[in-house]
Amino acid sequence: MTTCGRKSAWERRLQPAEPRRWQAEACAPRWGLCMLLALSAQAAEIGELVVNNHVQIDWQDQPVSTDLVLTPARPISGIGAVGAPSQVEVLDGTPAAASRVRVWALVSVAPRAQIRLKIRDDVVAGAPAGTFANLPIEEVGGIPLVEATNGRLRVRLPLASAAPGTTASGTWVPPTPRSAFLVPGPALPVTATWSGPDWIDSRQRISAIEWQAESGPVYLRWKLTYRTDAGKSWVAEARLTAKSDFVVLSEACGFGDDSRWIIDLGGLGANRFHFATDAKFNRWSEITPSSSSADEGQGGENDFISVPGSKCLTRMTIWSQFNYIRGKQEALGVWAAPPEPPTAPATAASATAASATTAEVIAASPSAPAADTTAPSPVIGGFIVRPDRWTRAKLNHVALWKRPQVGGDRVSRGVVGLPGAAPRLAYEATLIDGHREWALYAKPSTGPSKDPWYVTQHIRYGIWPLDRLNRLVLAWNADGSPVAPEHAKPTAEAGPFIKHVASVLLDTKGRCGLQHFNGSNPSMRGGYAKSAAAVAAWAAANPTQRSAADLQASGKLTAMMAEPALAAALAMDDSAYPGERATLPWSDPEALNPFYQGMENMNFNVDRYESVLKAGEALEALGCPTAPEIFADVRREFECQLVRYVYPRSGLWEESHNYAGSALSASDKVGTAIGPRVGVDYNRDPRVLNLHRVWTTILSPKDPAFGGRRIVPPIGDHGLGVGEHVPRLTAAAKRFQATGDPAALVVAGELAWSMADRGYTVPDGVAPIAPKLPSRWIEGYGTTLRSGVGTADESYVIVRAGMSWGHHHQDKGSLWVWLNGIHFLGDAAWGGPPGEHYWNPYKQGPAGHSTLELVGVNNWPLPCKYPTPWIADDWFGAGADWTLARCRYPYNPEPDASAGTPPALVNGFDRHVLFIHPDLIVVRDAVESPCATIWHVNSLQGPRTTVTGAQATLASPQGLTGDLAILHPAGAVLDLIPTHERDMDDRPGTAPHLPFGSATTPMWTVPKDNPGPPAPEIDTRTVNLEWKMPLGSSATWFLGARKADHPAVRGEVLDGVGRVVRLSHPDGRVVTAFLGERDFTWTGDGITFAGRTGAVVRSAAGVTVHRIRCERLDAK
Amino acid sequence: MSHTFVRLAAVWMAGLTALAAATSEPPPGGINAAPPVAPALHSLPWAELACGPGSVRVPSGSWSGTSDGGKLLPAPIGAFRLGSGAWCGAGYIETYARCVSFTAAVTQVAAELTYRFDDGATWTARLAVVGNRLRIDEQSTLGPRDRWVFDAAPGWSPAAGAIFTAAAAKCRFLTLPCHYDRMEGLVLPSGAAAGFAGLAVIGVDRPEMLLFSVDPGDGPGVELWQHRQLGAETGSRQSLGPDTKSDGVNDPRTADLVGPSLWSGHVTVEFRLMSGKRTSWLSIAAKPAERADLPAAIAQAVGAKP
Repeated sequence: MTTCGRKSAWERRLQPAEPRRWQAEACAPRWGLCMLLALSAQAAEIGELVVNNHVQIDWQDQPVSTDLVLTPARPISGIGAVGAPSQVEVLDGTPAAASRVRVWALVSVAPRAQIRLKIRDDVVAGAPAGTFANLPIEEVGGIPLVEATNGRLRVRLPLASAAPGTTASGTWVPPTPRSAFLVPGPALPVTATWSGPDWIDSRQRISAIEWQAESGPVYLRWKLTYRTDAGKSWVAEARLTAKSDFVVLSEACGFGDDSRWIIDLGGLGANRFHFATDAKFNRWSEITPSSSSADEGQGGENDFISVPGSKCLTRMTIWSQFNYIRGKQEALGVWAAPPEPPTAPATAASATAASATTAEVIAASPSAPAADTTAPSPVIGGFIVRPDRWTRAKLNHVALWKRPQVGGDRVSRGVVGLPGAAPRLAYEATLIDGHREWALYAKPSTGPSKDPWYVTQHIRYGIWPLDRLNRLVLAWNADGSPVAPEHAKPTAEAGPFIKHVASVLLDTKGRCGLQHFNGSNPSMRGGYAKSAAAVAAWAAANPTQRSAADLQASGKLTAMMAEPALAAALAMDDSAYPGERATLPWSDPEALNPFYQGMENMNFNVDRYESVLKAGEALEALGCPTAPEIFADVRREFECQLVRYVYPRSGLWEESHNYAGSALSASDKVGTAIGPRVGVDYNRDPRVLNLHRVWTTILSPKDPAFGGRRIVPPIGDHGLGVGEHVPRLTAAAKRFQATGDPAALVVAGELAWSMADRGYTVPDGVAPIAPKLPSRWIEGYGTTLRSGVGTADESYVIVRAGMSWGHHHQDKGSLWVWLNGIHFLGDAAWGGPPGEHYWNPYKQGPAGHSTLELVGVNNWPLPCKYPTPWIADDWFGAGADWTLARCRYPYNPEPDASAGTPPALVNGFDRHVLFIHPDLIVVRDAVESPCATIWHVNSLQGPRTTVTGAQATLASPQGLTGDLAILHPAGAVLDLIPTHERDMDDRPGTAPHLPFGSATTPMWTVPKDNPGPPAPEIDTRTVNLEWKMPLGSSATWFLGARKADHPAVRGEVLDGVGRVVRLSHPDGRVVTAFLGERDFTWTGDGITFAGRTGAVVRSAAGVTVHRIRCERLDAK
Repeated sequence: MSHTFVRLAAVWMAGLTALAAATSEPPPGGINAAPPVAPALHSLPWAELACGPGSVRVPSGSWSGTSDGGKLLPAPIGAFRLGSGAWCGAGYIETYARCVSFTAAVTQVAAELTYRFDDGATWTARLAVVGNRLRIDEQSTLGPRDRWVFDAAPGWSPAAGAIFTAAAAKCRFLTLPCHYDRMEGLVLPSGAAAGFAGLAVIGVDRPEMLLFSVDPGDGPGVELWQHRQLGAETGSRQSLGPDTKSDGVNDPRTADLVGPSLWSGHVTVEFRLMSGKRTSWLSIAAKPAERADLPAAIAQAVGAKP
């Protein structure tokens, strides 16, 4: 599979991370915001550093820079900014002969202000940003320690030191390779009361450390290269800027194995750590003294796999959507707070919050306990810098772990069961592979929940610092001519995009900007479109305002140029959303799937790049020369989605129905908008066509309970959607028809058929074409078995076993069944049971579906993390179909020496489904599991379902009745569960004993512009049939339909083990079905069988033999 | 490592075509997993001890030097086989101290192996065939995280196991499909009398079973793990986090959407080597034809009455 037409993953993984897209690193010559000058040897003034602060942040003492090309190469001595501390970083060449340099200056700039600094070559260097001081008495393992400080932060490091205003370098080589456990890491922030220690946890030994150090007026910088006796290396470059509270690390990790840098927090006495949530960054949680507490940390309910004896409290990694897993964060912080004061008597409000964590209560309370503001210890932590530059994000973590450790025995860390071991906190930074940029701090605690520094640090100083913002192209002339600095000066008035910019950069709820670009955020979803429309309207009304000078004169530069451009940059940035990396094949080392690391909801990214498109349209209206680059970016993201999330062999979107609606919408909005701009007609694109066509492929039979309509089967998280997507599909049919492309015309016709067949208005000029709806495998979905298509007795069986995600639904192997047009099996309450949405066992849990539940393991079928079920085999014939869904669980129930389990070499089940057209299904559930197993089906004929022992009767109002019976093993007893009665993991909102569905549910959805036939109220009542299977047992059961006034369909087992069963239908048919896990032979009843699967149907018309998977099947 | 990735991917792609048509159980790590690679070991001559229905391969001879992170010393059990079948697994030592010498004295029914380390630690393993089983007596002065590992993947690739009590009265069966890292079973000599006393590794599509049981005592424990591992980098199998390595899929028809995983599935039995003594027993057995007979087969293999 290609990776969106870009370099292959293998090529890219070898490249260093670089900023991309349209930032000024690439655009500087074009726009002239950064000085890029050819210099003469005599010139004293060699450039200018212009800082434009278009955002409402009062920046203090921030490093900003501009790049200069020096022609010819020359010494850097004397080069600097006038009027501010400055320092020169050599980008190409040497200090004695530099050909390209970055001139840094330390500036303070007010909101909406500009400052300009001349760069000359005769500047006298100012005082250094700080000092390096050797700490000879602090030697650890024979490695001299150094302390670097800028007067605000003290940082310990090994070896590297430089005198003020100089550079220095060296190499440390021990006589024999040194145990890594004795070697400190590259930057440990320390305080008067805490100084680590830190060390490297690796079986490899350190054979050398190469070091460089630099001291200048803007920053102290040091670079350490650790080399091991296995030939591996770890390169860490640290920069401590003057007046900064943190040190920034840029690392190239390459130790492999499970190597980690340990920052021991045991001496801190910490009892709290902080974390973010979707809504707020400023939350904290208690650290308990126990070795492990289920209540600690965040997202525990999403962590299915624990590390014995250890506990990850929080983990800093990139793109932590929804706070998954174990509270993935963009920042870390731990500290010790004094004991809580006695709690006040419970109030009504606090009693309501009794089930919330202490942290949640305090964070939500306007009067937090005093302890929250008088913490005695420093806060030690870190935060992300430039997540777009991190690589190998799957491995690149910095996490807060509590692991057992025996005192100061560093090697004992993590070993379970050692005498004298006690839980000990440490930050653990993996050193395995990849590039990472982050910052470390040690800060006096002022109560993190109240300190805005904690709230904004990772955004303001890590992701969008002033230097990065200043390099964006935020002013231009439509004719492409350079912008004079005086015309780029910010203006006071705010524009339509201000709220989006502020939400990312200023909002204390902001986390990495990601949550702003989360599709759940209405400010983004549609907000960009609204703002863009306002800008475009202004541009149309002011056609002469197309240069920076004009907008400067009108006072609109920031409002109508800078803010829209900034909004586009924020939305496009990979810090905001991992668009491209989340669409790589999951096995790619740079991929950000699996879920919970990066993109969980594919539709969110669709919404995000729709926003980028809208911002691009606004900028295009303003004559922005970079608008084509934005459109190219949108196209690339769109293509990535089509490659990754549209199943190529079915057209199915990765996520279930409502979410797929975003993709349909995008193919319209984005495809239509971007296509002409990039020269592509997406209405002819086979991926786009298939994305729409699948909505005809999966439609149900015409269901009399829904006014004779076909419906989209309610698979996944959305419940019943009778008229779902009709407007989008209608519009798409028109677009496809307009292309004249033969393939598009067919899809347009089929979409028109789906409208006509359901009674909706057919798009003008589009002739309906009835699709072929055979029994088939649908990639991502499972198998659909059909008979009688187009007749009143159309039958339809869906066997769900595929990679597409039903949004948390534990529906491996689940069935949806219509027989002779009547619905019989499906989801509880058609997917809308009472109670909570999430963690509701009857909504997303296996009890909500018609499948098996393995007790004690997680049943989620999320792709990758939780291997999905699959259709292992299928056979489609005239008169019968068969499919084999294989459902496997990679988990084991917790071991218990007091009880055995059934013998099992896998954990899961095979569901064999034999469909004898048109009205009989025989199911063999071949279970092999160490878990207790519960069989569930949900009868869609809820109030008309009765149970007697192993048999159930499902009577429909339409005169057709279903007979269901467990044939094997003997003695099964079905329970009929009419109401929601299972707990939801003790979560609030549990709604027990409420009925599934109602007799008068409004039909949803009725498209406004194409309502179709009158929409009656419908009966969504269902009941759950449950059977606790004997341990290690398999089952054979059937469902058959017959006229209500006929005798029931009967079944019997012929071989004693359920592989051979005979069904007798009242219409005279007798079916002998063979469903074996393995090959077997059987002779009897005039039949000789050898193989696994087959069927014989005898009727008045004769004998039909279905040789499905067998060597021999003969019937007299 | 990058070039290794590319080579592994190429090998995987070559194998996928053959696998794609299969409907049997997927291999450990998923249908898209890389084939397991044996660890790089210092070359030592192998001796063979007959053990019931099979035999084990034991390193012999002697070696001295300074091991580094690149090559590993073989463990006392280098591999095993059932009858004259293929050799299964690879044993290696994983210590923080560097091994500086290895000596072995091997007869047809016994072996004594001594490993010495640069911090002065020693580890001695005495192997003796007793009936149909191999008794392993170990004495170690190594540290808390040191261990020897029997990696069952090379040449075998089992994906199931069991953990059982003394006399195998209770067996808990384990699926070990290697989609993530997790210790699935722990046998502590201190708990052998009351808790689990042994563990088994069982091939799903192969006939071999390998069992270890531990005598009561106060020595270090034995762990049963499912891992994913990057090529021959044995250290990559641990501590990367469960959500790190979840790119295994099972469906041959859609595996191409996920792409070839760089990781392979490895079931390992890991023997802690922290200071102390331990007596354990190795048994080799043939998997019974019927799954229902597994508990009896385990009991018989470990010398207990079913």
